[in-house]
Parts: sequence; C-alpha cells; structure tokens
Amino acid sequence: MTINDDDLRMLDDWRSGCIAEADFATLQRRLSKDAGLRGELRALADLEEGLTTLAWQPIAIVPVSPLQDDVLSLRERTTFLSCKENRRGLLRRWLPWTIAAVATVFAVLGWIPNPDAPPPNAARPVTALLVDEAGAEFARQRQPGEVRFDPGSYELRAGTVHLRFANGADLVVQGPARFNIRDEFHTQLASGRVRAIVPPTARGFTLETKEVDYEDIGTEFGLSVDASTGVSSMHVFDGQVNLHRAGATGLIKSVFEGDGVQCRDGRVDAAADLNLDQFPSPDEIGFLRWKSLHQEMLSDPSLIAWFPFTRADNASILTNAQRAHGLPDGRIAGAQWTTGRWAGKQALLFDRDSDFAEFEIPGEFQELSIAAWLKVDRFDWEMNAICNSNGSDSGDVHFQMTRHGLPRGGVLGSDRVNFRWVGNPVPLAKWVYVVSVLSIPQRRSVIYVNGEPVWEYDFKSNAGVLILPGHCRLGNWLQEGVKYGTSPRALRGVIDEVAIWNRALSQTEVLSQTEKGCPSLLWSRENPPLRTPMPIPNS
Amino acid sequence: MTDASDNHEKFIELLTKYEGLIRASIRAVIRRTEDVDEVMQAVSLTAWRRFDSVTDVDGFPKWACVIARFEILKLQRSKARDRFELDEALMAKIVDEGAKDLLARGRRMELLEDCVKRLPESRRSLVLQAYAPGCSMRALAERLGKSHEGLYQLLRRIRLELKRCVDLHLAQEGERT
Repeated sequence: MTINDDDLRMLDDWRSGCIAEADFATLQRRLSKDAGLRGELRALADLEEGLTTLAWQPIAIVPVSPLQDDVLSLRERTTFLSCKENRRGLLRRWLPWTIAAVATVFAVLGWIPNPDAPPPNAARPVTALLVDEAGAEFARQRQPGEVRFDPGSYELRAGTVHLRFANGADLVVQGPARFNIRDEFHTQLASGRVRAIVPPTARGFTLETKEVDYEDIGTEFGLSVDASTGVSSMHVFDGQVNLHRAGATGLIKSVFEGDGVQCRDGRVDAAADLNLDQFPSPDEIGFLRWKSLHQEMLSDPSLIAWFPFTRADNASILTNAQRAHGLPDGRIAGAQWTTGRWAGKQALLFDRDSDFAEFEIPGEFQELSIAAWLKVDRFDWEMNAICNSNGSDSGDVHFQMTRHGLPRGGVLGSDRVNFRWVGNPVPLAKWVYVVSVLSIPQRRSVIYVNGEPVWEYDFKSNAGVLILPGHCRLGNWLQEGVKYGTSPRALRGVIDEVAIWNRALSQTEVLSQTEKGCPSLLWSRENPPLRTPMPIPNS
Repeated sequence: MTDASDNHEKFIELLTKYEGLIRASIRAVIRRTEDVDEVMQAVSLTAWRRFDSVTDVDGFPKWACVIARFEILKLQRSKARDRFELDEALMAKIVDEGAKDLLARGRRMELLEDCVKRLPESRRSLVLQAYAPGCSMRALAERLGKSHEGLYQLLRRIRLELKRCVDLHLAQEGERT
C-alpha cells in the first residue's frame, strides 16, 4: 500500500491530539492493514523522542549563579529551581527508580563548594536527592548542591529534610544534625535524629555512629545520636536491623520490629522509652513546611478569611484562622473529615449531593481572590462547585468546574465578554491549587490552576459592578431563588484549604502560594491537556 | 564491589543507553506525555526487579520493549477509555514490530542530532523550544506572536524536513555499505 499525504496528516493530527473522529477511524483501519504506515508512526515517535532528548541539552548548560546561592535559602533555592519547568520536569520524569540515570544531567546543575565533596564532574552519579524539606537551614560549606547530596559532610542547623538515595532508601533528617554521606549505602550520623525507610533494593543500607553501625535488612528504623555524648538510640519500626561494632563486620545483635536499643560506652542495652514521635516520617515534612508558613500567611492584611481545615473540637465548625477582619467561622454540613495533602493534615471529603461547608463573606468588594487546594475524585455534573454564593443574584460569586474539569466562574450580573479557556483542566486524583481572581478596576476575571491561567473573561464596563459574595457554599451550590432549577453541582472530592483576599492576587503571587503549599517537591504544577478539542464557552 | 551493586550499575547503564528507544516505543502508541512517563516508570521498575533473569545484555532493549508492551496494555485497561486510543491488538503489533527494528531506529535517533544542527537557527530554536519539557504550545504561540494553528503547521513542516534529512542520511549509509 502506498502512504499518501493524507495518511501522514492523519498520523500527525492523531499524535497532536486534534484528529477528527472520522479520520481516526480511517487511520486505525489503515494502520491495521499497512506495515509501512505503522513504521511511519514509529519513525514519528522516534523523531519526537529524539527531539525531546535534544531539547533537554540546553538546560544542562544553564548555570546557577554562585551569587544566587549566597543570597537564597534552601527553600528559596528549591522554589527557584522548581520555577524552571524544564528542570522540574526532568526530576519528576526519572524519580524514583531511574534516579541514578539522571547523573549526567544533574551533574551540571549548580554546585555549592563542599570541602569534603569531590570536584564538579559531568559524569558523577547521583548519590541522593532532596525530595522535600521544611524550614531547612544548612551551615555554609556544609550544604547540598541544589537538590543533590553528593558524598560529603552536611550540617543541618534547623528544619527537616527528606533525602532519597539512588538505591531507593529514604532518609528523613531532623535538624540540628551532622552527617556524612560516604556513598549510597553508607552514611555516618555524628548527631541528630533520622528515620530510614529501606526498600529491598537498598537492603544493607547502613547508618554509622561512633560506636555502632546500624545495618538495615529491610523496611524502617529511627536513630538518634546525642551531639555531646555520642550515645546512640535506635528503634525498629518494621523489619530487622543488624548492629555491628563500628568499622568491624562481626554482628553484635539483631533488633526486630518494635524493639529499641541504646549504645553507650561500648555497651548495647535495650531501650524501651524512646519517644517515637521524634522521628518524623516523609509525609510529615510537607505538613511541617506548611505549618511553618502560618504566621506569614496571617500577617497579610489583605487576607480576610483563611480556612486551614483544622478540625475543631466541634467537628461541624470550619475554623477561620484569620481573626483580624472579624469574619466568622464556617459550618460543615455532611462533608466528612478525612486526610489532606499530608499525613496528619485534615481535609473535608465531599461525596454526596447534600455535602457542603458554608461561610459568610459580608460586604462589597472591588477585588477578590478565592483560593483552594483540592483533589477531585469525579466530575459528576455539568458544573461541579468549588465555592459558590447561594442563589444567583447580581454580585454573587461562582467558582466551579465543568465536566471536563475546566474551571469557570466569576461575578454574576456584570456585563461579561470574551469568555475563554486558555489552559489545561483540573485533573482527577491530583492535588491542585485553584484560584479565582476578580478585579472590577482591571475589568478582568481569571481562574488559575497551579499558577497558570485557565479561564478568563473581561468586563465590558466597570460601572456599577460590585462583588458581593455573601453566604457561600464550598463544594456545592444552594439554588435558592433560582428561577429554573439546574442539575446539582455537588463536588466529588477533597478540599483541604481555602483562603480569601480582598484584592486581586498577581500571577506571581499565585505561583508563590502554589509552591508554598505544594504536597512535595516532587509534585508537578503541570497538568495534562484536554483530550478532546477545547469547548467554546457560552456566556 | 558486591554482585548486587555490579548488577545495579549494569542495569542503570543499560537503561540509560536504551531509555530513548524504549520511550519512543511507548510514545508510538500513547500520546499523553504523562502516560508515557507512567509506563516508562513501570517498565523501569519491572525491568529492575527482573534484571537478574537477563543473561544476554544485547537483548536488553528488546526485552524491555516486551515489558513495555505489557505495561502499556495494563495502563490502558486501568484507565477510562479515550475514544482516540488505538485498539489493543494494534498497539501490541506496533510495539512488537518496533522491537524487531531497534538497531535502525537507534541509528535514526543518532542521525537526528546532526539533522537538527543543519536546521536554520530560527527553526532549530523553535523546534527545541516546542519539545522542551513543560512547554505549552499555546504559550509558545503567544510568545512568538503566531496563531496556535500556524505554529502547529510550522512544527509539522520542520518535523517533515527532519524526517527527510534522517531518511537521506540512512539511504546514503545504506549505499556505502
């Protein structure tokens, strides 16, 4: 069979996601019958993969200025890094199992001198990478390079970091701590507290102390070393840990799940009174990071309400943590308390048509920004509510998603034009940060998803337009006084934070909030595009 | 060094060497980058777990493509069906045929770099920007002051140009041998 231009066009259209239904049926038929066309398809995929690989290469030669390292804290530096979408994509694409294969790419990322670490070399393999951190402050000359931890000494003065070694072992280190990474299987802990989680690929992962080497035979243990005495205490959460005299191979003893030991002056004794809460798990780090930002959040005078979704003694109260503006707490009806972005963080599950939480935002506004962290399970209705004013009056605020996950909304009653979707929809089963920004003076309404604009429209005029949110429901819509009833708009998913500002946040601010609240440093802002052609919004 | 760490290094070396080809095989039948990443992740994990059974390292890419075939089908079955998704038998056929032709496909990918270098600077820069991870076609079109459709057509022409260049190189190599 001869391959014609039409075949090639259909192949290209299909790959680009813009093929018509009839063309797709034809293409599938043609591909089934024609080996040559299947070869063309593979050649096209090979070419695209090759281009993707080549497109990475310029990234590797972008240096990070040493000056930036001088002035930026670790968190700021990792945020700076994550704003470079290319690098972020790179990290996400490989971790965790192919971690070591990124060696040549990561090797050319920024380098902070560490006297014990080897010199920069483009072929250095990755030993460990930073997965997440909360308030981490390293001593100068004893800090990691960007997100990579090479063999060498580190001093974590404060905060908590989560490292993942190339063999798959996770190590959560709580500061203050001093440690020396020797290689991917051996780390010396001079002082501090760590939790090690060791998968089968990292069996034999060993934490070395002054007197004893703790070798993990699989799963999870916590270890603390006293800075002044060098006394080490270890508890096995799961699996088995073998103890060896430091630097020797002979086995002192094996310790099993639920047991602990303390090593002092060469003696190993049972330790039953360890405080196990002192070993943070990886999931807790993001939560710690988020909690450390509370004060900063509350100090913004334009923040008029902030619902951090922390369960109160009365489980039906939705606490407003921002008391400066006198707005009351909200009320929960039906929605169930569940787990949020991190272990220990609470959230509300909206799963029935009758589930909602409600609060009141009295007053008139010229600008308003409403933000929420949410994870959608399903889109059951034509419209799926995030936060809607009750009823449908002029000035009411609507913030919802279509069945495709495309957000839409704004302020009702205004003379609105140029409705458009300009970005990717909210995906299922992924935490996303959605922000609706309304500005009458700027005559613009934008909804951001993970910091990218997705929905926009303009106000024809700003005369007489006001924003009057009033009573609002989260995860639902009260169709009170609506002339023609519509389908329910009940959300199916989880919300774990809502914040409201009396001004229009800029995109930079939205991006900053996204980074601050993101579930982990491995979380990606990018969402997949719509699989079908973008619908044209009606007014 | 222990046998286990030798094995680990060998695995990483092979995966690094052939990752592009394996990903391209997945890419041929799956359009969404996120799904390609997911399958590649699953292939890496499965291949690592079963790596002890590999006796012929030359056969690694073909073996990995077989794993990819199963992981692709597994992913497709676990997800809601997309109406523009190829049917399973056709997907399997495309991947299986591709696994028999890895040498030539690998060569094509090597030649591509040279062909990209031959593109005029503006076209080279454009195509590399378009394929950079995280690049949105819409944002790129806006930045370049082009319509989405216009950019799409331009990229299509560049891809065609690159494919012709690679085909020409391959044909010339064939004549020489």
